[in-house]
Amino acid sequence: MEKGVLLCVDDEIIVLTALKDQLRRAFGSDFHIDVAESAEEALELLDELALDGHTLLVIVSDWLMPGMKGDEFLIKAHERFPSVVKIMLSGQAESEAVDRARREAALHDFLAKPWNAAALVESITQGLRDRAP
Amino acid sequence: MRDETAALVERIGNLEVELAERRRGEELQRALYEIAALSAADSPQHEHYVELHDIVGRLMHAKNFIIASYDAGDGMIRQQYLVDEDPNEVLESFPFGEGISSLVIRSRLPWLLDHALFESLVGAGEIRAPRGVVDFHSWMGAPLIAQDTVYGLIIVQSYSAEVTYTQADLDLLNYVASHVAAIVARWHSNIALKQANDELAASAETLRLLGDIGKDLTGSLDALAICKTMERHIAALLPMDAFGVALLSPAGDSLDYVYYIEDGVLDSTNSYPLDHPTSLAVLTFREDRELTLFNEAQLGNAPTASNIQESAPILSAVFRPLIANGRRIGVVTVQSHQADAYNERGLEVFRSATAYAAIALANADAYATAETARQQAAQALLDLHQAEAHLVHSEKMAALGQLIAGVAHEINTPIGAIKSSGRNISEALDSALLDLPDVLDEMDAAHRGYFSALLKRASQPKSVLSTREERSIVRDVTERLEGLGLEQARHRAGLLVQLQSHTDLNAVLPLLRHPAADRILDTAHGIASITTNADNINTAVDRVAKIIFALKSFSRFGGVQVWTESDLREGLETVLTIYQNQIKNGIELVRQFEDLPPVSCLPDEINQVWTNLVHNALQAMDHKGNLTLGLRRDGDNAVVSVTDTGCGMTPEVRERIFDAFFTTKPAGEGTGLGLDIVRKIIEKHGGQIFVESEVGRGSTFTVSLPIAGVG
Repeated sequence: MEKGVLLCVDDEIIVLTALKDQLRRAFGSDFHIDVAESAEEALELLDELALDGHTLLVIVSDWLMPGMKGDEFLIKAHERFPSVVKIMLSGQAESEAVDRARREAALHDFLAKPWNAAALVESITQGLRDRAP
Repeated sequence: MRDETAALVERIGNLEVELAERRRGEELQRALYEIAALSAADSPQHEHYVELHDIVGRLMHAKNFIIASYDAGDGMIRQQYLVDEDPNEVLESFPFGEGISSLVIRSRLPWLLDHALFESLVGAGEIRAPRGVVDFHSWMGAPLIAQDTVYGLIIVQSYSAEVTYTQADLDLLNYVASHVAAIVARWHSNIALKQANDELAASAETLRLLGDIGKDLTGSLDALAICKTMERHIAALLPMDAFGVALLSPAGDSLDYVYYIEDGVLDSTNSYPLDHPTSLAVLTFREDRELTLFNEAQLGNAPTASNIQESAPILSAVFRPLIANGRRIGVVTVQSHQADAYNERGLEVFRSATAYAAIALANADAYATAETARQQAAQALLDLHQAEAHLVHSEKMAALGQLIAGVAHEINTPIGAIKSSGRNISEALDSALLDLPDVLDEMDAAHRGYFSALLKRASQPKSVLSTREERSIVRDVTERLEGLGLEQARHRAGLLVQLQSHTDLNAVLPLLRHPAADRILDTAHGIASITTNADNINTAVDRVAKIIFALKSFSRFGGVQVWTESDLREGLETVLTIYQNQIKNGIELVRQFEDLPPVSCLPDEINQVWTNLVHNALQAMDHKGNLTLGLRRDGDNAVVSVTDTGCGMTPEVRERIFDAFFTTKPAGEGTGLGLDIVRKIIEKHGGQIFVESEVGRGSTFTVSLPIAGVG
């Protein structure tokens, strides 16, 4: 049985680097951490993960990215993986976009940058606990 | 009777031969046993060579005896032991070449030479005659080969016709040599292992020793606190009467002592320009090397701290550049009234503490920079509000204020990365210090060697991979690990790629097969992540710095205007930074910049022109389309163009756009003064502005400015 996957999506490689190390520290023994630099890349990755038999558990996504924005991406991801825990982590997001993600992608949480590591870990842990089976 | 006698004599003769052979056999047996016993030694000593010589001497005539080593790495043959009847013969080292020692090594075969064979080999070009005369009568050389590696050779030779070696002697020498080779091979691996062990033990010890310093230092985000912590730790480890930390000034043109304490008196008022002729800190920084000074004469010319009365002369001093991720950020110095106060170990401790301090100070700087950025943003807003009060047409200012507030918001991304990576570093340090001793204990010497090599590879500079590229490499490595029958292949592949150890899996295979493989890899990854996170902080700080630069340019707005030689490209980049978010949203940005000499202008006003034109262009295409900025030279003029793929203008509109109070925007969005102000600024600079436009295709605004300025 392959480990479950936590996926981080952000167009800033500095954010991905910091997140990846942080989440590996907190969840690395139980989950695999994957990262993608755009929503488009993340959607491709979702297909690959499904093909390889991995279970996607959590998505942490930025909102303002070139190309597809975070709310649209999370809605698309939600259509295919409704039980995945979805968290938005953004320095600036339009409140309509966040509301839309809450309504249409069952957004679990919104965290503002600069984020607090403990709060992010707590949010993910709680999301996993409450996750629809 | 005679027959019987003859038979008896023959039997006795046979018996003697048999006895001699048996004795020889026993002698050989004993010799091999004694050779084997030598392997108990860790490394070859002179006495071991003497013993080998003695052993061989019991088997054959070996008055003239040489053992030489061969190092394929540097191609040198080194005589390690030599006993010779000729007192002029001494130990020599020479490069592998065309002599007879080299012949033995090259052919990997034992050789028995007399003069005739020697001459014919020379004649055939197999070897070249050595320096001096060839004075041996009979010569034997046997290679020391073990595990397919040539470690050297043994030579025996005689100078007189009384001793002529035979094929049997050669076989015996070769047989002995093969046993000696096994010992030499063991010595070699012992030495290599011991070196690896010593290195590792030393680094583990230093790590333990510096662990507290590292934790203390990187835990703090205040430069002064870091200096004090470093002073306290170093004072506990080294003789120290003065300690100072000088950091590169924000402008990058001087070293400022943020902390200098001598004989308990603090003075942080000293600053030295980077071209200062005698400051040792400046010299250290400029030449980017450690400076160790152990006598007064060397120290004599250096300036002393202005507010400190020296109690006694400083006789020893060490200066070392502070380098965080390849960037020089300042200099640390420790000094003493004693002469020769710093030995090599002390220096080593100082160096390592300096490395930690550099990371800590860079972190502190990152936070300070981020904090400054926030203040700059706040100040920019404040300045704008003040400017507002003086300006009748405040709408534009309010819009600019909004814009800058948006940019300040953008700083949150790098700050988030800095904060997280800073925390990752201190957690990584914590767990590395906790886990490392246990993990080292679980490994034997050989595995520690592999571990040490793994850490070394992981600390090499990293190449930047896109997430796609990295994933494809990880997938490939996963398959290779699965092919080797290893569990958790994907997880481990990820770690190996992070540790830059995926190209040569053989080098890490022993660690992967170790029972504690997971903990070994995790610990290595933890240690390596310190570098990764420090690099990340560095990149994030660069980003913040760029945004601050843009904010600074704008916060000056409304201040006193000064004619300056200014690089137009920098101004354009500043404006693009300010609009970065809006551009990122759906704009394809094209820069067509040529190199231009600086233009004499009022930079803030000129930047306002670019801001206006870029702002209009983005609005004209509703933030979707191509924005092309051009910069070129046309005779004595600099020409800047801003092209959008927006809605364009009818000829009627185009006629009126530079008129005051003309606007096509809804009420409340524009004052109709933007392009009027732009035109006035350009006229003030003796320049011109043109516009080309086509409905549905877009517009190009072209600004031409005299490079030499007005008049």
